[in-house]
Formats: sequence, C-alpha cells, structure tokens
Amino acid sequence: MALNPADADLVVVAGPLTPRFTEPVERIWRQVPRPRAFVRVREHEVGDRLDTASVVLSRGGEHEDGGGEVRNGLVMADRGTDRDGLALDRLHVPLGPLLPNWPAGLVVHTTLQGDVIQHAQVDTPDEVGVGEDFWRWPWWPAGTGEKITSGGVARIRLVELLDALGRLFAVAGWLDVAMRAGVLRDFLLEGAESAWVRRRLLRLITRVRRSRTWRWLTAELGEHRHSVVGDVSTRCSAWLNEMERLLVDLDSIESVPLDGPGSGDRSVPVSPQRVLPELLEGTEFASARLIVASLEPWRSPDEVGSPGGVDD
Amino acid sequence: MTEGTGWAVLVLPLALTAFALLALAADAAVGVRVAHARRSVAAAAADPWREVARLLVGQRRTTVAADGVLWRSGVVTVPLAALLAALVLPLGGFAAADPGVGIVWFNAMEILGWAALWTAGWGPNSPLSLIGGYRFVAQGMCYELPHMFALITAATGAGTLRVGGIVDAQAELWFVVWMPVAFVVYLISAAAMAFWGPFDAPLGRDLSGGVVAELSGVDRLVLLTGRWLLVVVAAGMAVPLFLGGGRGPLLPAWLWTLVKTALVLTFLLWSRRRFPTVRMERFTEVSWLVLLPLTILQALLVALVVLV
Amino acid sequence: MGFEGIMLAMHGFVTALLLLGSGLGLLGVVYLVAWSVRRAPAESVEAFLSGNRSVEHAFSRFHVRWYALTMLYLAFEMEMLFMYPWALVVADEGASAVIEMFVFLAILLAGVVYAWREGVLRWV
Repeated sequence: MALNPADADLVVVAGPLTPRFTEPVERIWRQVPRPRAFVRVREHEVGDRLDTASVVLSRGGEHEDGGGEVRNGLVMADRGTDRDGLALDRLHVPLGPLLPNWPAGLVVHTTLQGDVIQHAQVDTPDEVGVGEDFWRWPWWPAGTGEKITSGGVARIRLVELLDALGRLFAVAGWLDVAMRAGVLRDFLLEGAESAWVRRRLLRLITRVRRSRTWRWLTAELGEHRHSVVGDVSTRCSAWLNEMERLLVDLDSIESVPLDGPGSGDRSVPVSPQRVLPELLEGTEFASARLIVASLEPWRSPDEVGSPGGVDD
Repeated sequence: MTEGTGWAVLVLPLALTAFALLALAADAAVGVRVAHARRSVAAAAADPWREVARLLVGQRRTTVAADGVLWRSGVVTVPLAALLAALVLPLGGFAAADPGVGIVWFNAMEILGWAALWTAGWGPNSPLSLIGGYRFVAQGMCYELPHMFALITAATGAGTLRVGGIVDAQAELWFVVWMPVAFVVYLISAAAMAFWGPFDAPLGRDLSGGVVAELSGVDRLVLLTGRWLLVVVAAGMAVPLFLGGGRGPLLPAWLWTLVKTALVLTFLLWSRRRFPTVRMERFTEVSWLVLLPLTILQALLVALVVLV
Repeated sequence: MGFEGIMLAMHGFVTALLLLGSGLGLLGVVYLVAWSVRRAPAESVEAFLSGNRSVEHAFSRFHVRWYALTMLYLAFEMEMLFMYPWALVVADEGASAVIEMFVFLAILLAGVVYAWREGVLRWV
C-alpha cells in the first residue's frame, strides 16, 4: 500500500462512502499522479474490481477523473508562544481521516511548533462517521441459528490485535515484524489452520519480547497517571500477553452464549476525546504516532466482545 | 593504484546503478519470503524493474506554492553526491581517481547529501516533508562526528588520506582487526548517512514518506535511486577502509572487492529489516556519550600504535 | 612543482569534474526518457494532509529544539578540520602531537559531558 498519494496508482474505497469521507477521498484522488484508477468495492468483489483496475492502469488509462481546481493563495503560518514563552510559528496539521497506519475514522487536529505537538483536538466518532463495525463478525451468524464458538471469538480478537500491532510496528518503522503481523492477520481471516498460526505467532511474540531496541525506543512514551495504563512498551506487551492467552482458545469449539464473553480486563479503557489531547501535547511527531498506534481508540471495556450496538 | 581516465567516469555511474539494482532485486526476493506471498522469488526479483518503469511513466507533480528550485536541486543532488563520493572508490587495484585527499573528498560528498535531503524536504511546502527534512539535519548532528572519527582513525593508521595508501597499509593486517570500534561505528554511520533503516526517520512511515511524501514520477525515481547509490557507495568504502581492499586468496582483487562490498551491503539490508526506526530524540545520547568517546579512544589507540 | 607536477596533482579533480558531467548527463537522459514516455504533463496539487484542505504554508520558522546541540556540533566540527592534516603528520611529529590532540579532545569531551548534564542531548 502506498504511504502517500504521490506514490499511489489506485484509490480503492472499500465499503460505503459516507458523507464525511466524500471530500477527503476526492481530494486524495486529485493528488494521485496519472496514470491512475479509482475503484469502489462492496463486499466479495474485491478481486474482480482490482483486476479491472490493473488492466486499466497497464493501458495507461484513466478510470474516473476527479477534475477540480487547485487553490492557491495559502496563508503564512501564524505565531504562538511555545513552552518557553518564545513566539514561534505554528502549523496546523490534521492527522486522519485518510492517513496510512492510522486508526480508521480518527481525526486529530494538531498544532505543531517544529515537530512538537503544542495542542491536539480530537473529532468525535460521530463527526467522523465511522462505518459499520467490522469487528462484530463472530456474531454475524447470531440470527441464523449457527453456533458461535469461543475459538471463533478468539480468532477475531487475534485478528484485531494483529491489525493493531501491525499498525504500531509499521509506524515504528519495524518493517519485518509489521509485515509478519499483517501476514498472520490475513491468514487468520482466511481461516488458516491453528497449529500453523500458533507456531508463527509465538515466534513473533518471542521476537518482540526479546528486542531490547524496541523497549529502549518505546519506554516512557505516552504515560499518563489517570487515563491510560503504562507506556507504549507495556501496552504492546499487554497485547502480546493477550494474544498468547487467546492462542489457547483457538481450537475450542465450545459455544459462546449470545451475549458474548465477559468484558473482563481485556483492554485499556480509552475515550480518545479525553485521553489523546493529554497524551499528545508536548510530544514530538514520531512519538505521537506511536502513542496513537499503541491505543485502541474505539474500544472501551464494556464494548469488548459485546454483540450489541455501540453506545457512544 | 591505477587511476582511470575517460571511460571510467561513464562506467562508474552505470556500474553502481547495476550493483544497486541487483541488491534491490535480492532484497525484494527476501521480502517475498517474509510476506509469505503467493508469488515466485523470480517474479519478485523483477519488481525493481517494474518500479523503474512505473516511475518513469508516472506523472510529475508539483505542490501549491512549492520552492521548485530547492526541491528539484535537492532531489538530483542525492544521486550526484553518491556518485561523486564513489570517485575514490577502488575496484581491486583500480579507481576513477586516487587524489591525495581522497578521504576528505569522500566525507565532503557525503555531507552534500545532508544538505540535499534537507532541501528536498523543504521544497514541496508540505508539513510532512518539512519535518522529514529537519529530521535529517538532527540526524547529521548525531552520526557525522563518530563517522569522521572512524574515517580519521583509518587514515591515521595508514598515515595518509589517500584511499590507495590506506589499502596498501593493510598488506599485513586488515584495519578491521585492530580498529574494530571504528569499523562498527562506520557501519552504523553509513546507514545513518544514507538515511537507511534503522535510520530512515527522514523518510519515516509515521510521516507517510516524509521527504518523499510529495515526490512522484521520475523525481521520486531519482531520489530513491540516489539513496540506493549512497548505501552501495558507503558499503563499498568499508572495503578499502577496513577490509583490506581487494586482498584475499585465489580470486582476483576486483572480485574480492565486489564480494566484500556485497557482504557489507547484506548486513545493511539485514539491519533495515531487523530493527525499528531509531529516533534521534533517543539516539543523541547514545551517539554523543557512547559512540563519540569510543571512537576517540579508538583513534588514541591507533595513534599510539603508529608512534611505536 | 612544475606544470606537469601540478597537472598530476590536479588529475583527481579533473576526473571529478568529468564524473559530475557524466552524472548530470545521465540524469538528463533519465529525465528525457521520462518526458518522452510521460502519460500526462506535470500538474500542481495540494500538499498531502490526510485528505484535509491545506490552508497555510508549511514554510515556517521551524522550531529547532536541538539548537544547542548544533553549537556543540560546530565546536567539534572545527576540531575535525585540524585532525585531517594531523593524521598525516602524527607519525613524524611524535608523542607531542598525540598529547596535544587528545588533550584538546578531552577538553571538548568535558564540554559534551557538561552539555549533557545541562540537558542539551535531550530535547523532548
């Protein structure tokens, strides 16, 4: 996947394009260099659509053109005092909604002096318009009378954690490990056999745990006395521990009651609106990205594993 | 050492690019194994060529109110700096040139890359690029001094700044044997100089590409090729500095040079996959309080040996 | 040094200029090839901001928090200029050259330790 529009050839919109995303997607599309193709996919047709797009690209064609004008006349950055009371230029840089390795639907409006975040403000999920919750799928068969197993629940939670870990490692520039996490996530989703998954996942967990470089780079990042547990390093370890526990359940065919497993202490209670500004202010850009990637922003403890609607 | 004329200046850039493309293909092949992708290694090895074609065809873009002159000059200076640094790179007993200040020349050209990447980051008037460019300036503060001490240690050991002379001085004992610290620091700083992983923060994923976030088409091709050339040249320079140049049994000197360069390059490719990106905010202390004193001690040791 | 001697000493730098020329020539060829196979002319676009509208210039007085570090760096960098010629003559000059250079370096290192204690090496 391209990291920026300049390196992209394809813009793929998977799922519904909600009003909140229309403008950003159009803007990104205008930034993609030609030859380019725009693809919209609904469920189960990903392969076909991408094949068409690659044919269009190889002919050097344009699948759909955005058009639009480029605005000129930008204003200069304004000034504000920094932590030492010096008047310095401030840049307003929004992070999200369309940013690689960034939680879906999250938007943080940052004010930067140099590469330090002076101020951060988070859009609420409603303003952003997050799509339907993909992570509820172990309960999809609930209405159909099919059995839901705790192995299936473990599998989806593993997929979710591997997705989050992959994002964290990618932001940290740990290419190899990020890629391995992504591969495991995809194979789990495709229903890979659990012995294979277990072997590879345990190897990945051991590798991350053993890395002193990783601990050195992530310790003492994103600590906050009241709102979150630990720092980036310990939150990552907590994910690894949870994955290790989930691996035990992976083969279980025990049915799960329809109201889902107990919520327990499986994740950090995070309300992004409240926590993120406190955590991000005063950090430098790379640390801020790591901190965001170390949290599961749309997850609160009562939401974990619950098949019902979201209350926020 | 024989110095080349005429044709050497034409062959050198092509040879370097060819070597870089081979390394890229090998790296792509390793990537297939990691990604567990359902495609053959041979298909992956062709990826670099596909990417070259894609970028050549791709549309060039500029950004609103960009500083075009600084931006484009930064982009083309990256490969040029690598190429000019390669001037003194010996292949066996042969180099395009072997001036009396070869080490200083090599060092100066690398530093050209420092400026180039900053201007390439500043040019597009984009916050992510700008931060990337400034990251490289901060990175330079950390790798450059240990790097220079590593170079000077080798020069002190040989009593000359001529690269050919440094190779000759290793007739009995390779410098890596009695300058291990300088060698290790050279490898670290070589990666940092080429903004190569784990020192790739200026092009970081957290910045969506940083300095290259706004580069498309041929401009992107030129800067990224320049980065590979820098890595190859930095790996190549480790051979005359510390690994005895073309010395070795059986094989001819030029082949030994290539083999040793490939080994150093393999290490650099491996470390990029192996480690997460090192942020200067953390690395500065290590660099100034550990690497710098260690390289100074190494230089002292070498100076004392030279005296005796 | 006669004319030939000068030419011999200059040889490396003449080659350097030729190499620069050949590099520029090759870059020219690459850009020419790209121009001839291009599918669309160059275009001006907004800077990438996660899909948001850009409203201000990124060009700004960037807050360089490692400013103090640059001073420390410059002090050392000046010293390096002495060290290149020093490396050539240290064997001939003998022990005094070594003592002078490393006492100087020790003083600079004391400066580094002081700067570290003042927090110059940590800026976040």
